[in-house]
Amino acid sequence: MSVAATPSVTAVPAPRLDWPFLIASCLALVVLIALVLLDGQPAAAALLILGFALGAVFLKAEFSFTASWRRLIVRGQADGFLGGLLLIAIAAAAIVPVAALVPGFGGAIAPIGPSLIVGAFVFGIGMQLANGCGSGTLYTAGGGSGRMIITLAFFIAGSVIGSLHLPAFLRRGGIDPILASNYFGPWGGLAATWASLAVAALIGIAIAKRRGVSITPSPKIVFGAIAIGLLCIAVFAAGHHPWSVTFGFTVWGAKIATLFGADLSHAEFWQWAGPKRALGDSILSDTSSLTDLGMIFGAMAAAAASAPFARNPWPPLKSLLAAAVGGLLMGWGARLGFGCNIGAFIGGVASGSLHGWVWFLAALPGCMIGIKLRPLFGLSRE
Amino acid sequence: MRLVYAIVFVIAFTALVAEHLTSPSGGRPVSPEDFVGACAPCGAPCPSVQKK
Amino acid sequence: MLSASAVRRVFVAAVLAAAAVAAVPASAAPVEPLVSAQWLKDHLRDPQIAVIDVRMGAPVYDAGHIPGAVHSDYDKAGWRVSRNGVLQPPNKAELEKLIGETGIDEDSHVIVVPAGVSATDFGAAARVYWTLKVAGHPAVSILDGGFAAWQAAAYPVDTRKTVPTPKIFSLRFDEGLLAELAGVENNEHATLVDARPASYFNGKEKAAASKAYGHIPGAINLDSASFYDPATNRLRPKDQLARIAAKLPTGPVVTYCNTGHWAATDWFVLSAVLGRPDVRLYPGSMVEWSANPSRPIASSRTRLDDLKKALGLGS
Repeated sequence: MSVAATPSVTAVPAPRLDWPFLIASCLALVVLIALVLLDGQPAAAALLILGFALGAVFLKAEFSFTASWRRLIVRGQADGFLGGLLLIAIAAAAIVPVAALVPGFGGAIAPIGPSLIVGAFVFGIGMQLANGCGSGTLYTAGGGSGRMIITLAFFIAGSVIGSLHLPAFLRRGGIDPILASNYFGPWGGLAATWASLAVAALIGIAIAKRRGVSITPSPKIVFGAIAIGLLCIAVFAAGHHPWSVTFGFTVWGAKIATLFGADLSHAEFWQWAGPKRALGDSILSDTSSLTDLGMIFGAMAAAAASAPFARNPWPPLKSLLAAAVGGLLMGWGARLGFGCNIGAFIGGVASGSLHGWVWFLAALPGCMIGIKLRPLFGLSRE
Repeated sequence: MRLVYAIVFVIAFTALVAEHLTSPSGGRPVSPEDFVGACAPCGAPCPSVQKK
Repeated sequence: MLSASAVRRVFVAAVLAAAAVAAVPASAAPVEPLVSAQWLKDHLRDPQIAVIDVRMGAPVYDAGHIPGAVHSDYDKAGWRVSRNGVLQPPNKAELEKLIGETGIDEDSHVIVVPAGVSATDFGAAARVYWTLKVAGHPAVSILDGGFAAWQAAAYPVDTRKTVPTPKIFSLRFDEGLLAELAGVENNEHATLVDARPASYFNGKEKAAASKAYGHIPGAINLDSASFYDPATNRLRPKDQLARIAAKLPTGPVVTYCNTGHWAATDWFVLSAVLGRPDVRLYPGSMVEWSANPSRPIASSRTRLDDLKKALGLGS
């Protein structure tokens, strides 16, 4: 998290390389790459490296969904929001057609119902209290924020609790996924996806114009959007499904719970094929975990390469409480809502799945409530 | 914060590597498992299937 | 001078006596699965005794063998045939030919002679024994202690090659001794017995021809070496064998290993020595089972084992 630079008369010391953390993060990446290559899994190595790149890009571009949506809601400033839409448009160019045309590749889909809506709404509250969503938590935690480690820990815990509640929520009803390429074909589906993004962009621009605020994204945001969009395509290519962040947290939490004696053999979620396999196998065999880990190390390396690492003092206790509550709400909400900004919003919309937009429209009011709650914890309103 | 961070990092990384090494080896090249019939990346079943 | 009727009566009696003798099976005494070197020495000149020396390599045989023993190399004579990379028993036609050309027919009492220096070469004899039993041969025994026991007793040894007199052997296929892949895949009642050392069972090492580490799910590990006493180079006494085998539930059993070699020892102990009914050998074993990734495998191998292998510290 960067603080707005104040002009100073005294010379600012040039950024120093924080060698211990730079070496630690790069060494950690190399060790994990070696382990997965020894396992004969080059795709896993690719996901680690791509995650590393994502972490560095997110940190250098300060690409925060949480802050940009807060800016949009509070001030009508649409720059970050538009950057996000550009990112999705780039990713969709590959994901929509390939998911429809190439066997073995799938987009992010989800049923539309109470689970999705409640989950996204609760996630929206949580992300504003935590100061970060899924990707935000990873890159700021990796970037040296001790507060974000707390958020991450509670995110993980909330994810496991969410996994226990998800099956019951699904039984309350809903409709099967609605995928644009099923109705319009691969290229029609892409056109429809781009059209929906254009509509969202126009609405964002209209909001900004009405509030008299600039809509031009900064070069950092544009660079970040393009780079992340391309990296999304690469992650999709390596993992055969769109980038996911929160599934990894759910698996980590379940493994920790099992280590401390929890018996998940009667939990319905953990009998589904994907979760069951992920729980029984190594963390490094889960695509979501691989990009998550890569992202932490990439953000750490990028942060350590430009400034002293983790030198900020701990924030006050109220702020840490918000971090914990926010993390818990995000974990629970992401499991019910089928992901966070990355997995559900970007993944869903870039796959041409309607649930991506439903997620966004449910998360937004959650964000509004979360923003209103921020001052209770001593956090700024904007 | 720096010290806490370093300790957490080392513990977490050690736990990660230990978890990986104690996980079962397939003994043969792993083939990716499809989430066959799943309605979401986490493997949730479709509402149309659930209504049965 | 005998009367014509007296001659006729004597003649009829002689024919009946000859018929009675001919009708009695080759050895009137019951055939033991294991015979001692002493027993073999005493019966070596019996006409129906057919000694086959299954040690591997002609030089070993040429250096000295039991007088009259025919060399039937376990590795090369055709007791196991490679099909699609899996060692299998010969088919019915091949088996009839192999047995007949070794000088064996239904009247023979076959004595299988291993080297007698390890549990593994006993397994070779047990596999040959099993193959003969699958072919329906009524009288087979293994020389307890093998050629080493014969030499230790200082019995005469021959260096001249014994050329077998080819015979006609009519196969009577006993399918109740053989388990095939489909039977094992659909198995519901038989206990699977894995005859390999624990390290193979657990997945810490594997046969080179196997494509996976571990065992067939549900199998019980009964290392064939546990039946063998390396101090005496013989199978352990029957009561000890029974005690070791007691951990198996009653009911049908299928033994297997990597290529059906070690499994033959387990089969021999359970079926021939302990007399358990319904014991089969699955000759394809792990090499066949692991060939297709769709067949499940259970193992306690970890990625640490893989790492050790990659670093040259394990297998």
